Amino acid sequence: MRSAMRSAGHDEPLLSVRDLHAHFDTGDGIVQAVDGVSFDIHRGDVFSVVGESGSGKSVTAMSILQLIPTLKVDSGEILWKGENLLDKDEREMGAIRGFEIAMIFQDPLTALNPVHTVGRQVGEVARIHQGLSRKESMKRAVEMLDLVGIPEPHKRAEQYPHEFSGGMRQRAMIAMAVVCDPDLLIADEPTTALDVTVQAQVLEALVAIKDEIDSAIMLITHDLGVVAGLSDKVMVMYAGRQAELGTVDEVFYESRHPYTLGLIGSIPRLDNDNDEPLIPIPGSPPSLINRPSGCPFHPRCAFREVPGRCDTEVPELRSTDRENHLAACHFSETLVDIGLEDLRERLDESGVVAADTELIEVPEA
Amino acid sequence: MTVPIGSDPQSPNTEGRMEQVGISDVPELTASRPMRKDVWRRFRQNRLALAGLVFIVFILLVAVFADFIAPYGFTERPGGEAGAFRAPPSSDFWFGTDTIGRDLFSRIVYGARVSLKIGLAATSIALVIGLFFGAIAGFFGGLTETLIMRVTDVFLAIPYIVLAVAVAAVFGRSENAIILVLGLTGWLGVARIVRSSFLSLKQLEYVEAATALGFSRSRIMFRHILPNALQPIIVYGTIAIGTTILSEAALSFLGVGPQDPTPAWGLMVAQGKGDLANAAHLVFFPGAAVGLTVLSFVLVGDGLRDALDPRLK
Repeated sequence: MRSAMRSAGHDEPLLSVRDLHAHFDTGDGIVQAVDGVSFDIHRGDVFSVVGESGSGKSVTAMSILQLIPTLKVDSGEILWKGENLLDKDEREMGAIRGFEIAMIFQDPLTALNPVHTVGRQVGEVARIHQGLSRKESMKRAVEMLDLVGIPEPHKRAEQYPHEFSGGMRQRAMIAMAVVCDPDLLIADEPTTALDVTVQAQVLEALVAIKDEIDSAIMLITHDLGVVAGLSDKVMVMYAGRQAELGTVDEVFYESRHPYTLGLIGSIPRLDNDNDEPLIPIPGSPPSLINRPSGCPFHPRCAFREVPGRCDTEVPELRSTDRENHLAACHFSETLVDIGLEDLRERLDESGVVAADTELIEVPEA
Repeated sequence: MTVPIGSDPQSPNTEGRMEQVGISDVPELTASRPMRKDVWRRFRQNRLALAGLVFIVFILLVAVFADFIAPYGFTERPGGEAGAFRAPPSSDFWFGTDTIGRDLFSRIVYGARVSLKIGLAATSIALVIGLFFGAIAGFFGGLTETLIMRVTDVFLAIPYIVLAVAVAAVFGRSENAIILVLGLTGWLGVARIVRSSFLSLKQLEYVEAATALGFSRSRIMFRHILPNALQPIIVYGTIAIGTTILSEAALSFLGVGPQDPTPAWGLMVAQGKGDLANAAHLVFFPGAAVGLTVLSFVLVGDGLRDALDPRLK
C-alpha cells in the first residue's frame, strides 16, 4: 500500500511546513524560537538546514515530531502527506514517530540505552510498529545492522552500546531509525560527535540507505561542507527565521543573503590558495527574547542601510531572480555577483563591529 | 510492509558499502564480558560482604529444610508437662529449652522461615509500590509528582509502630498483618530513590530517542529508564530486607507481631526477657539469630553498592 502511495506523486511534497510560529515560555520572557518558517520536503530530497547555534534549526525539526513538550506552537501547519500533524494526539503521533518519520540524534554515545543490547534496541522498533515477535525482530535487527555496514552483524547484535565505537554506534542509530522504512529521516547533526574520518562514511551510509528505502532526509547541520556534498536543497536559518532557501548551487554560489555570504566566508577552504584570512561574522546571534528591530541580522550585516529599511522593516522571504530561490533581504537584488572579496571590503567600510551587537541582550542558554 | 533491499547479506549493494568501512571504524572484536561478571569479581573482594552472603545462603537453606534440621517441632514439648523448663544448652537441647519446655534450637530453625518470609514479602510489597509511584512521580513531574510526594510525606509522618498497633487491633496479630504494615510503610524510601533516579535519567538523550522512535510512555518508563535505575534499588532493597526483619522483631517484642506459638525470633526474645538473669540463653540465641541475619543483609547491601558502582569507593 505504501509503495503505491510512494509512486503516486513525486510532485506532492511529503512534508510541507506552512508559516510555523512556535515559542518557549521562559522565566525571562517569550523566546520566539520559530518565526514564520515554511518549506517543503519531497521524497528523495536531502534537505539541509544550516545556521548558527540557537538559530532554530533543531527546534524546527523537533517540532515536526512534537518532541519538545515545552515548545508551544502558535500558528502554522505541519502537513505530513496532507494531514496536519499539529492536530494529532499523542497516540497518533506515537504511530508516526519511528514508523513514518524517524529521527537520528546527534550523540550516539548517549542516545543508545546502555542496559540493552544493540540488537534488542534496533529490533524493538520493529516489534512496536510492525508487531514482530522477539525472535523475528532480532533477525530483522541483524539485517538492518548489516544494511548500515556493520561487520559481523550477528555478533554485534548481541553486544552492548559500550562495546561499539562512536561510528558504529551512529550506524546502529541509523539502523534503529530505518528499521520500519520511514518516509522521512530527520538527522540532527548526525556526525558532530564523530571523528572526521568516520563522518563521511556515516553520511554516505545514510544517503545510500535513503535511496534504498526511497525516503527523504532532513539534515540539520552546521557543517557547510557536508551540505555542499550531499544536499539537494538548503535552508539557511537565522534567529528563528529563514534567511535563504534554494538549491545547493543557488545558495552557495549565488547567495542572495548577507548572512549566507558570512557563513561561507567563515569557513576555511582547501581550494583557497591565496592565504587569505577568514571573514568571520562579527558579534553573536541575537537574543530571541529581545529581537533587533527590522531585519534580525542587521546589527551584524555588512550590507545594511541604517537608518533605513534594515532596522525598521522585517524583510519577507521572497523569490529572487529564480522563483524557487528565496531570500529574506531587502537588498537581495544588489547581492548579485557579490563575492567574498566584496564582503571583506564592505565589512571594513561599514564599520560593523562586534560591539554593535552587544547592545542586544544575548540569551544565556 | 516492504522489506528494504539489502536485507540479503549477499546483495552487492551491501557488500559495496562494507568495503567503504574504513580501518578506523572497525574496532577489534573483544569477547563480550557481561556486567554481572564484573560485579561478582568486585563483590568477591569484599570479605565482609562475602561472609554476609554465605550466612544468608545458610539461613535460607535452614528455612527451606527446617523440617529436616529441627530435631523437634516448634510447638513440641519434648519432656511433656514435666519436661525441662529453661534448661541450659546441652547435647539434647543445643540451645536449651524455653519457659514451657520447647526446644529452642528447633524454634529458632523454624523462626528463620517466619523472619525471611516477612522480610522478603514486606520488602517486595514496598518495592512494587515504591517503584510504581516513584517512577510515575519522577517521569511525569508536575502535579502528579507533587501529589505523590505529599502522600509519601503524610505516610512518613505516621510512626509505623502506631500503624502496626492499629492494624493488629483491626486484623488481629498475625504474620500477614505484620507484612502488610511493614510493606505499606517501607515503600516511601523506595519511591524517593526511584523518583530521583527517574528525574535525572529522563533527561538523557536515549529517552528522547525512544520517544522519537514512537515508544509508549509506559514502555519508556519501565523498559528503558527502570533498568538504568535499578542499581540503587537493588542495594536499598537488600538492606531493606535486613531492616524489615529487625522491625518485625521489634514489633514482635512489643507484642503487636505474630502470636505464640509462632516461632518469631522477636517474640522469643520478648518471652525470655524476664529470665535474663537465670536463663540468658532464652534471649541470647534468638537475639543472635536476628542480629546476624540483619547484619548479613546490610553487609551484602553495602558490598553490592561498591560492586555495582566502583566509582563510589
